[in-house]
Amino acid sequence: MEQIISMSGLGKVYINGRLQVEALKNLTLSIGRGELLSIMGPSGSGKSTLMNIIGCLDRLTTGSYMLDDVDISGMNDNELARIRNRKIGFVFQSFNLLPKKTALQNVELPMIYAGTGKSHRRKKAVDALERVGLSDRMAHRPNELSGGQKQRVAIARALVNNPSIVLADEPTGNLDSVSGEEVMEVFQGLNKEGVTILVVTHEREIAEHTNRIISFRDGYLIKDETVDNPLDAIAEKKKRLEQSKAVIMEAGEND
Amino acid sequence: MNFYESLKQALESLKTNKLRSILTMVGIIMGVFSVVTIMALGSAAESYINVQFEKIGANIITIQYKSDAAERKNWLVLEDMETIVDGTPEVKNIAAFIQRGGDLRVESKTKKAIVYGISSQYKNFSPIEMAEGRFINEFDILSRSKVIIVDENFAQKYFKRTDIIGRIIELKVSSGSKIKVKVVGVMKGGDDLFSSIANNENFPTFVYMPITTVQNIYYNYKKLPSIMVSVQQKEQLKEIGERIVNVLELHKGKGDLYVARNSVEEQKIFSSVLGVISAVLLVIAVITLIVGGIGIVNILLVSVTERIREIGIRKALGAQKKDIVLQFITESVIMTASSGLIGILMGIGAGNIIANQIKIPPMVEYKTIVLAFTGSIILGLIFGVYPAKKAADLDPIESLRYE
Repeated sequence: MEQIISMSGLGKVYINGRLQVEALKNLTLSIGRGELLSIMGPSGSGKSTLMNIIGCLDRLTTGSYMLDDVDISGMNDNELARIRNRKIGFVFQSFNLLPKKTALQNVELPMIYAGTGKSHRRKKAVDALERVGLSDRMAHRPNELSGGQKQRVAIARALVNNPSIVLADEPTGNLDSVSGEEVMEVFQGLNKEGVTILVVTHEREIAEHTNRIISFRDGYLIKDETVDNPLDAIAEKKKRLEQSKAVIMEAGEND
Repeated sequence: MNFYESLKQALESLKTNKLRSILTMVGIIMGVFSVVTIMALGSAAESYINVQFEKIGANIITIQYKSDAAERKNWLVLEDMETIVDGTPEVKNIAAFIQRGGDLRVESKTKKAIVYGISSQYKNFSPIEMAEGRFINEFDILSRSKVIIVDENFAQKYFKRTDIIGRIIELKVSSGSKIKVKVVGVMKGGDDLFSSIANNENFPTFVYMPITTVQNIYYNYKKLPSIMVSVQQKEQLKEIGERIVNVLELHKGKGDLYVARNSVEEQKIFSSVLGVISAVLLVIAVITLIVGGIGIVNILLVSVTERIREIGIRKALGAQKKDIVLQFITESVIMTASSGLIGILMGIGAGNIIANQIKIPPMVEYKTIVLAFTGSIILGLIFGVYPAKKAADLDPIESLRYE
């Protein structure tokens, strides 16, 4: 399989006053094109640091990091910004949409920084929103959207510049379980179309929707497992809906 | 990100905080307004003075005393005018005047007056337009005629008409003595600001009488405060002035008595005093502008703090430092440039109103407008740099975590 990300001997040290914190230690990791994988670990395990380094928001201290066969380690701020713009799509736990802009304008934002012309920009943004099933919500502002819809706008925004990889940091963390399944359903659908997606989560259940789970503890990669039968988000969503219906009916009977 | 995009972003963000943006802009508006108005007033006052000097003529020499306490035998008197004319062939016109206070009585009404006793060529030095009758002439001076010239406004007020040639007015001087004088001419009243002040109820009216007559009624007091001389050409004002002083001092048999001033020098003094006043006012206006600019820095810093998360998102999505800098500087420049425009418009308005009041053409020069506008834009750039830099230097990871 073609490698999108390959890291070797990667280390990250934070210097906080006199205190040195080794957040990542001697990490070697490869991610292939078209993978849907997840990173797990408790807080402080180094998974957020890895996410920031992969996303070119942070620099590594030692080792090497190749993204799409390009060496990232020596790049300056502007080059990193360009890489983030063209090759990375971010999805955050708290959505991070600009509140005063419509869904469409939010999705257009990365293309503004890419210098895409206005009409082309509009067309691509509309396409991206259609891909995540939000063609009827384009003119809405984030406060007029549900949590799941907001996250799907964020996914559309992440997709719109055709990045090499979509990085999702706890994408279901702020959502109820049904909306969470919807988000995973979008990811699974996009992955079938060939999009590489990396999900950072601390929920085992979410991780089991992906094909590969990498676990971290204390800055070390401790486990790299393949999931033989990943959970199907559509089926899971159905199950959750039935469960919640049952709970509501039960509550009704108890009244 | 191109300029159009950042312009759009900046306008959106200013619209979101409308009241705040407007209040911030008021500071700059007031600054630009004061600068434009003061510059307009400065050039208006200068051109007013120039016009006045041109009316008098730029070729006038005034002979004055060197010290205030001249002895009686060294006084300048009417006879000295002949000495000057005889000794200096370049002299074209020569005149003197004295100024006294008195009361004019018309029937039972009294009006305070400033009485100018003038010699016959006086009108060549101070332009006086007649509405009715004639001005004081050589014969009036020689025969000490009891004649008077009043102005239109006085005539209108006390006689209800301006055609009052031949009417008799009683003049009461400070000593208590009274004489009757005949009106032989009526001057036009001016229509500028100073004339309208002079028309005020409590202001004395100005009247003209023969200098010899005035000297007679006021204790036969011969001393002239100064003698005015005009010459053909204005190139040698200084040399001719010095020659006149020499002629007079030779005549009196004593040196170091008089001094000659000329209108070119006086105009220079006026202009430089005016320049100093304008400069001081301009400094104050510029301080206002700087205070306004600090307001902009302040509000942009608040805006940066409020938008840390937004900046983080933009950076994560690929905004480079220059994009963020451009965004904030554009906001700053939009604020200062539009404030500048408003301030300029207000300044032009104020300049027109003031010019209209003192009857001179409006004096906001295009140079001032261009300067004020580019100045506002430059201010916006300067005051925008620090907040913009601060925003651009934010760490994307920290910004995204910021609550």
